[in-house]
Amino acid sequence: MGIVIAFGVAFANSTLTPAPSHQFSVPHPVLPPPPAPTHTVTRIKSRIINDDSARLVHAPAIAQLDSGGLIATWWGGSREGGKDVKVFTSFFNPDSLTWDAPITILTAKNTQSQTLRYIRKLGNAVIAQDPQGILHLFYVSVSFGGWAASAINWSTSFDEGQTWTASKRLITSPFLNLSTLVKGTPIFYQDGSIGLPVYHEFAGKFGELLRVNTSGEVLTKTRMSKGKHSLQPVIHISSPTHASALMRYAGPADNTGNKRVLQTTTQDAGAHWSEPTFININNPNSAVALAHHNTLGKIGVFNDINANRYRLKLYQHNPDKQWSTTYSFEDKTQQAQQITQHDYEKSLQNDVRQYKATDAKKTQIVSRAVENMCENDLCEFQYDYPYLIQDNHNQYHLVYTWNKSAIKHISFSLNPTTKLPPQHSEEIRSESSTAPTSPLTTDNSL
Amino acid sequence: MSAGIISSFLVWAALLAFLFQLKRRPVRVRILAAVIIIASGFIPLSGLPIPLYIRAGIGDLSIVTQLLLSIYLINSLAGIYSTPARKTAYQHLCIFILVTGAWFYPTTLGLTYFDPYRFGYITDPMHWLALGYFFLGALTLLLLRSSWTSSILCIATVSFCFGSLESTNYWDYMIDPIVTIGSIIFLSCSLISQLKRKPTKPHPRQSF
Repeated sequence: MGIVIAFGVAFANSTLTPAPSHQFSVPHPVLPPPPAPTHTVTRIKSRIINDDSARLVHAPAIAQLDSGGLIATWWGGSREGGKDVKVFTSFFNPDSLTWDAPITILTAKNTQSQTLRYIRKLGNAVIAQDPQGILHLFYVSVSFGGWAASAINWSTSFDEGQTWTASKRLITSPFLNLSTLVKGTPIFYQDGSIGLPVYHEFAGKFGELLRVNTSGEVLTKTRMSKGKHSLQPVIHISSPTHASALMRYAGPADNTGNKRVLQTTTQDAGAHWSEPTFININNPNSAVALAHHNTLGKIGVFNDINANRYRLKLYQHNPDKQWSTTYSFEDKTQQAQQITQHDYEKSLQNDVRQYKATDAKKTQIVSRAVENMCENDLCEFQYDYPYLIQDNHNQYHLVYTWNKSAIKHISFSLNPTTKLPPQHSEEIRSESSTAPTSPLTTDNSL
Repeated sequence: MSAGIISSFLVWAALLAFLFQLKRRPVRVRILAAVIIIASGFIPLSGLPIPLYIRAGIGDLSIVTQLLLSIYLINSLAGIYSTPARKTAYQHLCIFILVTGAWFYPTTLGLTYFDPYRFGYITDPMHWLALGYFFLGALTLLLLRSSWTSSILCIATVSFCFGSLESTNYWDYMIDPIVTIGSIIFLSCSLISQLKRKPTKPHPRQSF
């Protein structure tokens, strides 16, 4: 009798609980895209977001705020996995068109006191503002072991990132809640819940889509892949029910010696995903980024090589379902193999020459890159962990890790080809600490 | 205080009770040990009580594990030994947990596209499958005259309805790797002792 009562109550409880919406919230108009003309990257502006408070910085994310500015987040510390790693945010001031001084919002210590468990290190963070204006920050923490022992924490801000609520631990895995990490941009459903692309890298490497409500409770989750070779999914929503996701590939090369980006699709708002297939872009086991484009459908940023991360390119998705390269943000193909420290420094000095900054600042960035990327007089270029968003004015904001030493922000437009050549300018983060005050307008574009 | 935090205190207390073999100690020693165990759970080590380090390592344990740990602690502190019938009931529960863990963990850790963990969410259309699985488990235990352990599954199911853990997934209330490993150890020990065929003497303080 007791069994019937206990399980009867549980069954009734589940029957009375409303199912979540089965439709994505589409942040852009759902129109059949017209035939895509050739597109060109224009109005390119490059900036460095971080200051020199952390020796190593990594895994940036960016979100547009309703008030018009941008907020970026990343982690930084003395080394990857160090106890001193902190999560920083910075605001882009749409008036001065500069990034404010970074703010430390999370440390291992304060995450520990908020989640009531020992925390040794912090990792990847992603950020997004929901349709109600609440900022959601999901970030990874580890108590013991490496990244495979990660768990996700969630914090929100009701004042566009000025203050943050106490972090809450998300329970996402039945195996001691181990090994769930974030990298991809969160998406939203029509009922206000959040779709969080996550991945596991404990026994296997595979992607999942977590459904989280605005109270930080996991509603459900869907497996996007299985096995040991796919991780860090990023999702592009094309309609309330249709979406595609790209994933970093961590497996062996195919018969032709290539490793390629994986793609999976859904036709029921993420309830089920197709078996992943390769697309025509190489992937050296590195993160990818994806964003919507009004005529092309989607665009992405990739390290389109089989090994290392010395090249970072923008690709567009063509009507023939193939991807083609559009623009190169970073390309050190000519100098990629075993470059000496002297040549490395020279190459970076040449890169930063066009930055609007003091000589001291330029020297500092280069010397930090040498510190992080050189060993035994041999150095490596690394431009990775891209994170791409489209703002309300159809401008794109790309942030990525620059030689583990800087968080670089590139804003650009991707328009049908005109005769105007792309203009490129780069500048170092302004020391201004004023908060964003006015919304962006088309006249005040980034 | 959520049941998750209590679980880490229970683990710490059970660990100490096991290490000091409390059940075999005189009453005064057990009372003293109880005080020390409770106090040690609140002494901060580098700003954090020891149980919260345990929590960081093993997460929040299932309600089933917490109930089993509670029974172990009560028995240890009161010096109570389980009856043979009750031991058999625990063996039945351990077999059920072991069978569940054997197919559940490989699938949830990414071996297949089939992810039974998903059925543990109350909003999932297949949630009834997870409930049905443990209903059958509880029913089987009852038919095996293991009403004691069957009721453990029922209590865990009811606590899921009240959301006593941080998790919103039914599986997290019913099973965890610690109870699975514990089941392997308990069944192995039971098997070894059965093979030794030692006649069991009823203990003078034998109760439940």
